[in-house]
Amino acid sequence: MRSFLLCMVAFAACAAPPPRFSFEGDELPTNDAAWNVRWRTEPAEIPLNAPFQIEVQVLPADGSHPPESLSLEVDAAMPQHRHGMNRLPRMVPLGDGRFRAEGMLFHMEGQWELYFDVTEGDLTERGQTEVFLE
Amino acid sequence: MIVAAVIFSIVCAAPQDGLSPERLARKLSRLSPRAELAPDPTNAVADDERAARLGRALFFDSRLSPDGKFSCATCHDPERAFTDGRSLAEGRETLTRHVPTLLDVGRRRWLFWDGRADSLWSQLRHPLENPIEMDGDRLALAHLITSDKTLRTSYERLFGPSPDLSDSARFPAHARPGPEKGEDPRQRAWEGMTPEDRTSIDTLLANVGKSLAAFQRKLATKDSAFDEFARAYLGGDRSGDGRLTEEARRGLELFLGKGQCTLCHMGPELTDEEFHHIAVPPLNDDLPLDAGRYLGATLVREDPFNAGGAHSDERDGEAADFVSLLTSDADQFGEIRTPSLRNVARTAPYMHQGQFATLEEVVRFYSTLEGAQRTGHHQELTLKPAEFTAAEEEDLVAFLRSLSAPLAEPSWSVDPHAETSGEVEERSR
Repeated sequence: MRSFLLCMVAFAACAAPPPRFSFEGDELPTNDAAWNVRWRTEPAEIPLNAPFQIEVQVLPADGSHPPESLSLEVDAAMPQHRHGMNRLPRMVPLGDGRFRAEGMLFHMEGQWELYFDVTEGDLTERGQTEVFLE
Repeated sequence: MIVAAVIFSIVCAAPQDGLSPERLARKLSRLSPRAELAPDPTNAVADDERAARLGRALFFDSRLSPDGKFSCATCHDPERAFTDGRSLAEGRETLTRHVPTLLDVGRRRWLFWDGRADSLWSQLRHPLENPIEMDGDRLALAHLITSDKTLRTSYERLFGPSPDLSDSARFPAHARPGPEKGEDPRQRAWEGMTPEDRTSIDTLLANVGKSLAAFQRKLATKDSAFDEFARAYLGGDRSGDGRLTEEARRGLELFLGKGQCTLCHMGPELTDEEFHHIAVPPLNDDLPLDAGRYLGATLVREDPFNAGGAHSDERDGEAADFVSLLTSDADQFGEIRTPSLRNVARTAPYMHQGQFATLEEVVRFYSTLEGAQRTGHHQELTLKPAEFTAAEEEDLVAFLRSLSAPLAEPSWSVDPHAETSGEVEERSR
């Protein structure tokens, strides 16, 4: 009986589905494709010169579960103007590779680059995308 | 702070003469009408008329300075749109920056050119205790409030009992925190007080600041000719019915189009309430290099009177969030707060050191960027010459002149001491 239970547990573990993104949003790989980053903003339309949040989920590209030690920083800059945000968002870990960046604020219209820096151990990788605000 | 007309002219400033009516309407809708003045949850008496009356009495009271020479109104003169008309402020010495107007100051996100204060109520201690401005101190202020029967009554109706300062060993006549140059006896007196007694004085200082803030929130202006035009245009009257001159109308299109001024002077307040490198050369070679926001961000984040501090009436709200998340890095060196352009024609001279005497000079500078000076490398490159024609410069100035409007409640700008023989109005009610 005991060996039967162990087999069942082992089977259940083997049959666990690969991690999936838990919400709809834009998706991008990090620069050496080790991670996939999905993100969405709250509110959905980024407001000009007012605070907003970004919900982010980071998943390993190999389909494994995100490690507990995974960390994320979110930042943004306007490359044409050569300046960034005037604030550093507060990162709130939500578990299973999910994070919320609170206190984002884009104070100008135009092209913004959005950076997702994923750190695991000694390695940081960046996912980067562009947002145009008008 | 709201004085300089920072007409940012931006890269990619391709001529866009003649915005389509739809595009003009969309852009206009972002600039007008103005929203109601937002509440300030960090100040429980922000919209209390009694606090505003107390604040007004104190604003015009020269007893806030030790020799009775300076009141707030000395530099923020109601007859000059609450500025002093000079390039650089004149306190006990000449300061290094221009006096900002207080018109519509209740709408500002940050105070001072470097944003070192995040609320109207918390900015009081800077001019009050600066040795080259009013040179007052918070203990003298506390003694004034508690010894003047009228002031004390007004204060206690708002904030409860004032501190008992009768023990002069605990509460010296003069004291303020440092650091300052040299050995300041007032700093030593402050350091000799117990933490509890210092806290009680700081609370009074914050409360007085909140009263002054309530008064300054009353310095709101009415709609301008531009707002009237926008209301008509957005209501379907594409002619604007003469509410703007032809020159101002063309200037509006330059403001929204070719000049791309709204990149920084955005929204109904015509400011992003943030900080930029404006590249304007200093007024003269004697002035020190202005660190601007680089220092201001640090000062406001560390300010015990900021929105997240012990004296705030909402320590965990959006205002506290704003200040707690601030960055302070080398890129911000020399950044200056974007002033509102509302009432800009009334607040000459312009820029943070009053470098330009007229709006024409301001517009000419941003048209050519002649003499522009960078304070270092690794900094913002927003500015490019707008290359306005002479006629366009005149049109843009005409538009800027359409942004003026009188106070909505002008009675608030009158010195109550002149009206009621030195009594706070409260007393006669």
